[in-house]
Amino acid sequence: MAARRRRPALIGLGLAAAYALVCLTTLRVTGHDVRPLFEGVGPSSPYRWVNPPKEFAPGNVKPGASSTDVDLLANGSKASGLLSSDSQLVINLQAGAVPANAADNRVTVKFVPLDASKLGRLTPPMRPDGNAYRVEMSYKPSGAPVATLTAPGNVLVVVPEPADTILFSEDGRAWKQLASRHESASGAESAAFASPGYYLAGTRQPLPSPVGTSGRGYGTVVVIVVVGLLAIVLAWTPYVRQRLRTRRSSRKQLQRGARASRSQRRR
Amino acid sequence: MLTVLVVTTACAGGGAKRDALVLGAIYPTSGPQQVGGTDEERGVRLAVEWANTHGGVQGRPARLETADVPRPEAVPSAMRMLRDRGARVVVGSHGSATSVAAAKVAGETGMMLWETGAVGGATPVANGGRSFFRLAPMGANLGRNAIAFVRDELAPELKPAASLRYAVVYVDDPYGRSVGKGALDEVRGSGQVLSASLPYDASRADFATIARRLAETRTDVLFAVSYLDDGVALVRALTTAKVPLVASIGTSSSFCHPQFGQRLGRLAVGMFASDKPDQAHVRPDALEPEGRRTLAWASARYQRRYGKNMSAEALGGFSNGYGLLAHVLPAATSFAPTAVARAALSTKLPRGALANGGGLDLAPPGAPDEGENRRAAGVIWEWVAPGERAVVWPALFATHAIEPLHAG
Repeated sequence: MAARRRRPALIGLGLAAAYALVCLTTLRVTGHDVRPLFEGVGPSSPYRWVNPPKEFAPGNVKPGASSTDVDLLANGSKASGLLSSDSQLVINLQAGAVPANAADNRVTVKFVPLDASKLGRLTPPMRPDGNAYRVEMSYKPSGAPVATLTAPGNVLVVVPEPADTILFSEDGRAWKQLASRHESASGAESAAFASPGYYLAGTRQPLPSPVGTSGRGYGTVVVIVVVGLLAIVLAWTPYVRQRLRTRRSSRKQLQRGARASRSQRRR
Repeated sequence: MLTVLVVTTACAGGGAKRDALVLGAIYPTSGPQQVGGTDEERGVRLAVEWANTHGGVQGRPARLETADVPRPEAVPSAMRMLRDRGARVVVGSHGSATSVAAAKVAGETGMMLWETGAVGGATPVANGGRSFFRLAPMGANLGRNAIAFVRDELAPELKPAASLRYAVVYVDDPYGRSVGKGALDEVRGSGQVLSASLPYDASRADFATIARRLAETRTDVLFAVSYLDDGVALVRALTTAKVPLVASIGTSSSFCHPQFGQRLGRLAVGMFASDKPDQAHVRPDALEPEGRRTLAWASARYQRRYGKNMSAEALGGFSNGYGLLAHVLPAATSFAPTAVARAALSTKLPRGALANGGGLDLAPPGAPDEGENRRAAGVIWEWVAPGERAVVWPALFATHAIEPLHAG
């Protein structure tokens, strides 16, 4: 029970440490006095799509795979903040998160941005929100894969649209939702990082209906058609009544004529 | 039969919900621009409230449907979602890149974007004067104002105006290019000497190099179009490199931002910014009676609700939303975007009629500034003491005398 109560505090501390780490990493990587991932009054950099929607295809810079090495000590990997090449996926690892492994002295973390539409389908109404990322981890120099971590880290996914959750998949086919948190200041989504695999943000916001075909659009069309038909019927009513009257009176005249000729013949 | 027709037609527009005039709103209420975006949306909400407490719009209550757009990529879904909810006229959007994306979608989908805050260049793709109107000052005008202010007001007090050398440093995005272009045009067009034009990428810029370049080109006057972090970094780099500037002027997203003064303290004193006014710095006596009345109404409500004065973004959201709800929509023959556009073009308000000091005079399609408000509220700020700024231009709105830079 006590361990369970301590967990939120530990996660909080972990996140704070992760924040500091990523700030430091960002400063080292970019080399200037800016904290682009977490704050600022300026807009975000344009999202980099593997397969952009048509509106954002012009000017899109497709992201590529990248990898980073983390030092591996006797008690496991060093604390580290890792960025994909497009800076749209951040992973923070606590010290010792990757256990030591025989003669290996490094861990290689590889990020592969992927087109989410080519992976396993999400259960509607959930749909992919941006790229999927395959995160691979292997020991160096042995090349042995890292299967799990001794302590969860944290993953932060930059999203093009407000996201509802982060999803994880071991094989890129079956997805499960992770307990996620919206990072209001950055607009990104974060969750615990427990193992290598596929990570993807998802949104339940429905895909917009094409212009003019929304439910309300159909309703309006139906009403217009009904009103139009009624108007036509109304416009034709006097004409139809006139014709009916004419037909009835000519029939009466015919009948009267027939009666007259019959009586003449009798006479 | 006639009864059926009347009933059917009535049903088509019936229902309490359909009675309300639905306005869409897209602002970044999360993400890096959430502070300004939230303030601007709050200002628009106040304008809707004003309309609803003053008889509605042509007798109909107005209702705001909102969507959070933390980044431009969220715009297409948000705009179409608003359309699906019945909004054809959308107010927004605070950020220039967001504005560009929203103006494009509005033009393609028969909607209208009424821009209340973003200054950056949407005009070339935006169908200005038809499906896009910008009530905030056009970015290029902020740039022009800045250079004209230095040339006409500041330079005569510094040294012979003809010898001043101007550099324009701008972030290479729609906002930066728009404002930077206005400044460059004004420098060239008025026969001033351009020492450098330096675009930069906000996420990769090396400000030490930019500072060196400004020193090498013997720049006297710096006009910087930046965001907060890069603006602060640029000033620090200039200070470190001891670049002997006689005037520094920036724009809305950095130099006049309260945090700019807080982070730079004494270093910011004497620097200018070309931007929109906020509530605390609008002189009510310079406004028309209508502007004065609505400013008092809005500022009291805002203070009560949020416990603070209206920022430039909140005041812009209110004033520009008010222009739409109190003047344009009541004059429209219908609430279809084409009819609203016609009403917008024919509605004219003098400067000072809006609470932020602006008026309404939207440029028609085909004009070089199509869709832009020629009577937008723009002022020049100066940091007059550490953490303290004041409006110094135009004279009608000035709350403080111009004080040339310490290095002058």
